[in-house]
Amino acid sequence: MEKIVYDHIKETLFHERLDNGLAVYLLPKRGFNKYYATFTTKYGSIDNHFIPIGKKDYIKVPDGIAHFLEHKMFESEEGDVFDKFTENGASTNAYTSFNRTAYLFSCTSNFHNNLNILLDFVQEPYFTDETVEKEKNIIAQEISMYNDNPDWQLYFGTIENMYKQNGVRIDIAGTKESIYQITKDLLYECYHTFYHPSNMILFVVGDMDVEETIQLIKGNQSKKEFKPFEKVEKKHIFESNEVPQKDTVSKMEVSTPKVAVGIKNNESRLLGEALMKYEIALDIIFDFLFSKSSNNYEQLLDEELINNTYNYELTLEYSYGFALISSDTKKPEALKNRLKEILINAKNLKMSEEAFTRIKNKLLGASIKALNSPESIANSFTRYKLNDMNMFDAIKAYETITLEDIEKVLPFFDEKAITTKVILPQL
Amino acid sequence: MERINYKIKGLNVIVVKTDKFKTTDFIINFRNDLNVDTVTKRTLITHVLKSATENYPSKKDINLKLEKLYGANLGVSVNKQGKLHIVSFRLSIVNDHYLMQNSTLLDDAFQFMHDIIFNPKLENGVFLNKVVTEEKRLLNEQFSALFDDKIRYAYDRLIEEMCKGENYAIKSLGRQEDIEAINPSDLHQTYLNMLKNDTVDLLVIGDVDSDRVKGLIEKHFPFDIRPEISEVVDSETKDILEVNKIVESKDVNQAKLNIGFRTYTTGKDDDYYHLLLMNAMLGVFPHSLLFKNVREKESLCYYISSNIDKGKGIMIIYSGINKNDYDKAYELILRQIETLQTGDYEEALMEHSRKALINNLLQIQDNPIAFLASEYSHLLYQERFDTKEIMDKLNAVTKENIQNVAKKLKEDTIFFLTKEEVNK
Repeated sequence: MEKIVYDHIKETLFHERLDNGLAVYLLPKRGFNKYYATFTTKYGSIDNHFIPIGKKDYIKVPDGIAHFLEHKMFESEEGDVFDKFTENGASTNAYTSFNRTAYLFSCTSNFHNNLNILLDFVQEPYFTDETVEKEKNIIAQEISMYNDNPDWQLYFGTIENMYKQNGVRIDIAGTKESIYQITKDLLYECYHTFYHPSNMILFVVGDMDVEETIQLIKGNQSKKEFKPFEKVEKKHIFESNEVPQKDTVSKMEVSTPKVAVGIKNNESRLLGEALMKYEIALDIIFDFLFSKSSNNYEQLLDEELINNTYNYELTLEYSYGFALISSDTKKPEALKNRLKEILINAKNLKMSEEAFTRIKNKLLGASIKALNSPESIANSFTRYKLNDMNMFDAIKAYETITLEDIEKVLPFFDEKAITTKVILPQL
Repeated sequence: MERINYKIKGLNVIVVKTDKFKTTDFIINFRNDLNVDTVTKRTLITHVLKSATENYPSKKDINLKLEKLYGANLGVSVNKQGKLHIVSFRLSIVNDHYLMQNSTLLDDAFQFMHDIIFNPKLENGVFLNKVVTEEKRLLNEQFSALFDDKIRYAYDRLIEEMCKGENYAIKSLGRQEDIEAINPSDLHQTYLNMLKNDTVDLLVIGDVDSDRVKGLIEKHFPFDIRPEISEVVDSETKDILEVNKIVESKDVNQAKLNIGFRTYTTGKDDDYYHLLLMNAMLGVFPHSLLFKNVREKESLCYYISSNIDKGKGIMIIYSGINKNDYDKAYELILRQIETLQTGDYEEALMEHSRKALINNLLQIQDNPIAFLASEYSHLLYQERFDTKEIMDKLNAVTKENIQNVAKKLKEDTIFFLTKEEVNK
């Protein structure tokens, strides 16, 4: 097993790739009561166009199937997986994002049992026609719930404006129409293609004995057989930064108009160190432009264009990337125009050495703080890894970034990459 | 973990020393009776204080200062617990050990918090008019936004209807209609009263030197001795003659079915832990009755949960359903409560719920803010947050205890948010 010591943050990480291809990471946390583990497949809502394992031709599967599969994994032949974890004092959950599906548990006792349960339930699919049918109604309710959530609609509506074909434009849960096309056989086909150990990452945090833990994992895996791995052939859709929809408006039962302005990344082909540098540079710029210490924030408040719902975020992944700035506002037109103007002008941005250092220190502080939380370590480490990056190196990378790196990413701020989405109150 | 508790004049201090975390976190809480005349102002005060101080005269300056403290986070919030209104200030900083330089970070942080609480920017002896005007607008818009999240909206509406005429119907934010009339001068007066009369607690957790912290508190947080406001339980209740049913029409895809009950058990009662466990069996976990039977067996909903309020003695069940399933869902929800009353459930349900609560309890110790929040909420009941003691209490609960506490439940109000029939 490989041991990596990160002196600057007082953490030690252990890593091994097992014979069946599974990547295992163990992070001991002395003095913690909680054990937390995530078992993640590189398979998310956008991966709906691929060659099924053992076949030759691409197929397209219904939108929302990765999320549907996540729900159905909790059923096993012996019954409900929740019960097994509960018997062992653990709580369990799962989530599906655009590009991954993660299964997790947290517990304070019976760590070994729980780890075995996690590995087993994710590696032993069991679906019947009847239970697949039943799940459709539950997920339809989930979709209804999100349809009533204006912030969710604003977020997805903006992304939909930005992308023509990439699956990121469709809600992770799919639509009420698409989920009714899902069958047991399709679920198995997706499962066998994407849940091969070589396509998965196991991350465990807690006050554990590292040697004992890796032996347990190896013992568990050696009892199972997997086909030799064939690389997953899936279609990534890379789009230019030009947005197909510049401006959309919809109506909902809300009290105040909501505005989001989005800006799309070009191509999104970066991975590894190149992505890390790019991401840190853009993070610093967005902080400079939009954080609560920025001139823009102060002015937007003064102009009464934003309120406490104001928010901004940056997402950069393989094949998609965008930033979103949003707020409730009584003056949607004015806010839209101001945010667009800030984004367009950013391509000529000049940042002082003082501001640069201050923001760098702040973001560095935030990354160190995130290490308090086992959940945030496991989830962000996995996210970094899926993009060929190491989270702990990212903390170091803040120290090497320069003002020139900032200038290099300014072409991101391109007028044709900008879109706006407005939700207005009904009537 | 080492816990130290002392008083410095009018301030109660709890310091928890541990090297588990990479941060030092602290919370300062002000509590006083929840009162319709002051609640809105108290909410506004928290926002005004974090907008301008003598040393940092604008929001921008305050946020620049936070960045210089290595991205410290300042949080303010208001809450209600039973009959109390609680104003909270939180600060989280990176422990100086993890930084190459800057061993004065802790001192700077205390100085900064002192500034926020004691040293607001004034003009003519009262808060800045510009700041108050802006924060009034923002609070007003915050109220309006409550409507947009329909899960939250339906939850608040149920409490409003159920506790109509009771003090508890007041939201922790206060009342939107009271914002307009507030002026800088009476707001400032309410602030001075808060400093003078509220019961104040300071809680700190991190890898800190106790003497250093004590010195900093003495220097930066002077509070005169004052009587303690200690009654947390709101015992105001009513006789329920019939179940109150409210149907409200809004343009929603999913109907929200919420039901409120009186538990007649509060955090001060001997059977509180019976109720806590009963509620866990009913609607907190994926193995709980509501999730198992209403969601998994009948596919009627995606979310369904139940909550209890220990300061008020109420329980709320909330769920999102298809509007045509109302009768079926309602019947099924009530049947789960009957199950707890008759004891007609598998033994595992109780054991699993007990284990799950204990698991949650132990996990609190791994999160600095959650730990301090638990310390504080026990302090309101003159208890210590003692994991072992709580575990013993949970382990002692019997099936009969569950039946008894379930039989005390009384259905009070149903709130149903649904879309009007358009094409009848």
